[in-house]
This record gives sequence, structure tokens and C-alpha cells, in this order.
Amino acid sequence: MWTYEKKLEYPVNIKCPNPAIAKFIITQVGGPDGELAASQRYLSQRYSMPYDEGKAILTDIGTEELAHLEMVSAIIHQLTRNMTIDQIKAAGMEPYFVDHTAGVYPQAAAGFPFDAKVFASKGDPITDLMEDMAAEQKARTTYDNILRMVDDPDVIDPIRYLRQREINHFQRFGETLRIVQDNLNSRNYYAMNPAFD
Amino acid sequence: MDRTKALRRVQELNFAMIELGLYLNTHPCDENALMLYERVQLMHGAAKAKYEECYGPLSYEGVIPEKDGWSWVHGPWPWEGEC
Repeated sequence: MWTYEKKLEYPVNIKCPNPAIAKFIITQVGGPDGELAASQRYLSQRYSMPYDEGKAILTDIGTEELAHLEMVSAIIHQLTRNMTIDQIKAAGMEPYFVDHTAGVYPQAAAGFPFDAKVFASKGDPITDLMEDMAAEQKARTTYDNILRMVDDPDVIDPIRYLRQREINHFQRFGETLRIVQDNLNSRNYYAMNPAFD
Repeated sequence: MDRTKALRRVQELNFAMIELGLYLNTHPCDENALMLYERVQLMHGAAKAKYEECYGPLSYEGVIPEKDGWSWVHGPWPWEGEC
């Protein structure tokens, strides 16, 4: 089960509202490579992971992604609180504002809402871990793209932290894939699904 | 079986904390509920420490590296229906 800890994993303290950048940073809340998708991907996949190290890694990284979802949501909240109607109009944020005011809603930068179609849970740990490594890289690229657009140090700092976590998770998933492959039956030349066959 | 019993104890006390917590969120000044929460909180802490000492960690906090190494990865896992 889960319990809530009343702290962020890493601090977020943004002084200036900036709806223009909130419009695209929100993709890391509910977009195709966002933190909500990441958490649901790993927490769904762990049930078909046959090895203890893999069960631990999927559970713990899935849990950390929930903490990252909270951090990105806090960034969106702080970028959009106390914003004026003029700032909303200047940022072109009217469509989001009309639907959600200054609420945090999981959607992509392009405006489409969160969709579980962006991730897979294939029931095959090798297939799943390959996806997980790609997912971490895609999220890292997204944070790189966000960093190209942002100049407020209060935003850059937590985004850099989140970017670095993608790299660490990629490393851990790579090691997990190696553990799974080391556990394969020596006659399983073609790495057929070790969770089912 | 002892493990199951010890875990039930933690689950019951934890559930009592959850239920009292929800109630206290909307009734933060209810003295009786506050006193009950305090009692359950202590009992839960003790039951959890006892369980973890005997059967392994329920969270990172409960790992005892000196005694068990990185016992966090040891099964059975909760979704496997054995604990």
C-alpha cells in the first residue's frame, strides 16, 4: 500500500508566475512521456516481473515517479497562481484557463488529456524493460527540450533534478534487464517471455 | 501463520489510523478522537517495529542492514497473496 509524505522529493519554490512556460511543462504531468504515465507504466508492469530485484525496482521507481508527478504539478501550480487575466491572454493560455482555470489537469503540451495508450504492460519482463529504458530516455529528451525554453533559475533547478533522475532510472533499468537475462533458462536462446513460457 | 497474525495486527492498527485521520481532517478539534488517535499511533508503531524485526521491512525505513543486508528485495511481495 501507499502512504503520503508531506514533503516534495526535491524543493520547488517559484516566485514569478509564468503561464507561457506552464503551457508546455504540463506535458510532464500528463503527456506521452510524463510522470503520470511513467508511474502507471512501472506499477502496472511489476505484477508480471518474475524476479525479486525487478519487482523491487519497478515498485520503487514507480513510486518515485509519483513523487515526480507531484513535483511537476507543484511547478505548474506555482507558475499559474496569482496570474492576471492579461498574463493569461499574453501567454495564449485562454483555452486551458477556460477548461481548468488555474487547476492542474494531466494533459500533454499539445492539449490532449492523459491517455494510458502512451504506455504498455506487455506481461513480458524483457519487452517491458526495453520500453522502460526508452521511456526514461524520452522523458530525459523532454526535460532537455523544456530546459531550452526556460530561463527562470527557480524553474531550471527542479527540472534539472528531474532530468538527472531519468538518467539514473535508465541505468537501473539497464541493470535490471541484465539480471533478467542472466536468469533466463540456458535453452531459451531467443529470450522468449520468462514470465509465461 | 505467526507472520500473517503479526501483519494483520499492523494492518488493523494502520487502518484505524487512516479512518481516524480522515475523521479528524473534518473534525480537527474532537478531543476524544484525538486521544484515540494517539493511542492507536503508539500501538501501531510498536506492532510495526515488532513485525519488521521478525519478518522483514514494510518500507525502506524498516530495513535493518546490519542484521539482514538489503532485505527490501526479498519476497513474498504483497500482490502474490502469501502475506
